[in-house]
Parts: sequence; structure tokens; C-alpha cells
Amino acid sequence: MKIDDRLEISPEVVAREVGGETMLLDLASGTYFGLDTVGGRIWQALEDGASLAEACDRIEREFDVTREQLEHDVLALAGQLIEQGLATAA
Amino acid sequence: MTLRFVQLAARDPEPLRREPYDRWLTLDGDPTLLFFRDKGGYLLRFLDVADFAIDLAGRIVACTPAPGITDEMVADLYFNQVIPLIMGHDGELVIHASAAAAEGAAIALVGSTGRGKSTLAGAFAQAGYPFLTDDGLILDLVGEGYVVRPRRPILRLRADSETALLALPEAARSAAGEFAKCRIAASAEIPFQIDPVPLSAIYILREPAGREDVAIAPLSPAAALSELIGHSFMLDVEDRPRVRAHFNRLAELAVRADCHTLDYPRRYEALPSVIDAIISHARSRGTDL
Repeated sequence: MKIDDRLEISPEVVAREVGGETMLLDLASGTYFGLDTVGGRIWQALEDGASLAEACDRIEREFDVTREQLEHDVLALAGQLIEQGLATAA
Repeated sequence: MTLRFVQLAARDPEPLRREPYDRWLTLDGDPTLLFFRDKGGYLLRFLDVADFAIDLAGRIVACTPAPGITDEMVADLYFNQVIPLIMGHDGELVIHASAAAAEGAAIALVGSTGRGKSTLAGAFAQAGYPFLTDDGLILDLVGEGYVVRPRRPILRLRADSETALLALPEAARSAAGEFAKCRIAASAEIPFQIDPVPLSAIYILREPAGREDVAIAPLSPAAALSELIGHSFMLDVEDRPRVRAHFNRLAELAVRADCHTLDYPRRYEALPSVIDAIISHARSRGTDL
């Protein structure tokens, strides 16, 4: 996975912001996942169709984090989302 | 909610060759309830106790008890499990919780079977705080908050809880029922809350850690949602539109309600101080108490 890639969010996933965190429900497996505040913002950007790099752009404006760390975290989250079947590489 | 209930003659359950699409397990991991699809509706098999065939289109529930199962045991399952499952399917918010009313607001006690929900509700009632339900808590979103609807004026307690908690006359007791529980009707000593009351706070009963004090800790909305998901009534976990709506209702509850975990000494003589601690905590939260 590269930082310019985009993800396609599974239509089977319901996302809901709950008190600053984001809870994901995978209707296909009945499994729940939790994302912290930054993870939730990344998810929101991906849902909006942003590439991973564009998601980093958004987060960079909102949080005090280095670009290098951010790209590392976004790629890691993208890998986990794909692994859990919550998204696919577009 | 209108349903017609029919009780058929007792017989041994017919073997079912298909796999259940869902099952409930006891705290020990043993199956206790199997969910099947059946003739366009559902068949709920409470193992060794009864089958309930649910025809949602006709709004009929037909129960076939196993031989030796009493009418009271059937009624307990119907009111405490089957109706909440159907209500959840119909879009209501129903949680595995008991509740008691204190100073005009409800304290909800969420937990799996065996965690102490009914015993605490009984202890609240005995201390003068009327109980609203001993399971199948129904919550209605009204304005910005929730209102708890009273349910059955019956508490189901394990025999040891009953003996330790409630000095009731012999006539008020029934024989030990399903899961070795006794049925206690509401009375002057064990008052029941007749009218709905606003929800004050939700306490999720933790696995006992053997502690001697009362431990109450706040839950973030996300953590509360994770807990509530596991303690809600969902008839068809494969019905995606309903699962989605159910998830959203629970998320709303997790955001709006004041949720905490609760652990306390599981000794009957400690219950009055446990009740005091919960009331005092709810008051300190600045809720309706």
C-alpha cells in the first residue's frame, strides 16, 4: 500500500462517532471496532473519498504531528482496515 | 405492542437438523438459547425448557414447553426474554438490566444472568426504592433523555438471595423456578414503581473481583457502547437494516446516558451499604436524583 492509494469503504460498515471516538460495526461479520479521535478523522476522510495522502493533509491541519509519523500511522490503519475486511484498495 | 400468546401441550423438543443462526451462552460458555429461522418467522429454543415459535406477520407466539416445565417458567421466559427480543425487533431499545426508582429517577443495573441484577433490584426495593423491572429494561428517548418503562411487578431471585434478602411470609413465595430462581411478587415490603421515570444513570455490573468496597468508574461513551451492545436484545443478528438501526439506537444511548462500571462485595449483609453508595454516587453526578 502506498500513500497515494485510495480505499473503498465496505458498504457493510456502519460508522458512528460516539463521544469523540468512532465505532465501526461490520454488518457482514457482526464485529465491532473502535477508532480513537485521529483514527476517526482518518476514517471520515477515507469515507469522503480522500486518498491516504489527502487524509494526511487533513489531519496535519488539525493535529500536532509530524508528516512522517502521520503517514506511518495512516498506512498502518489502512492495512488494518483492509485486513479486517472493512475496506479494500480502490 | 400486541401479541397473541398460545401455549401448546408439553412435549420433548423435535430435533432440528439445521444450524442455529445465533445462540446465547451462559457465563460458563454453555448454550442456553438457540435461534432458528422457521416458516417465515423464528423459532427460539431455550434448551431443555421450551420452544417459542414466533410468527411476526400474524403477531402470534406459540410456546411448546418441555415435559415438567411449569406455566410460571414459561411465563418468565415469555415476559423476560421473548417479548424483549420481539420489542427490539420492532425498533424498541431493550437492555438486559434491572432498574429501581430513587427520588423519581431510575437507576439501571446492566449485566449478564448471574451478575446480581435482580438481587440488587431486590435490595433497592427492600431499602424503599421501588423496582421497575428485574430484566428487559425498556428505554424510551423523550426529548434529551430517556424514560424507563415499568415492566412486570415480579422479581426473580436465586433461592439464597431470597432467603438472605427478603424476610417474606411463606405464602408470598413460589417454588424455585427455572434456573433455580424464586418468584417474588411486588408488595408493601418490596415495592414496585408503577409509573415511568426518567433514567438517572446506568451501572454495568462487573465480574466480581472479590473486593470489599464499592468501586464505581465512569465509562466513555465508546466504552459504554461496547458494553451495551453485549447486553441488548436482538432477535435477528443477520437482519442488516435492523442491526444498523439497533447499533445507532445503542450509540445514542451511550452518548446521552451517564454510564459507569460497578463492582461491589458480593455479600448479602453488605448490600445496604452498596445501595447507599450507588444512590450517593448518582446524586453526586447531578442527575435527577
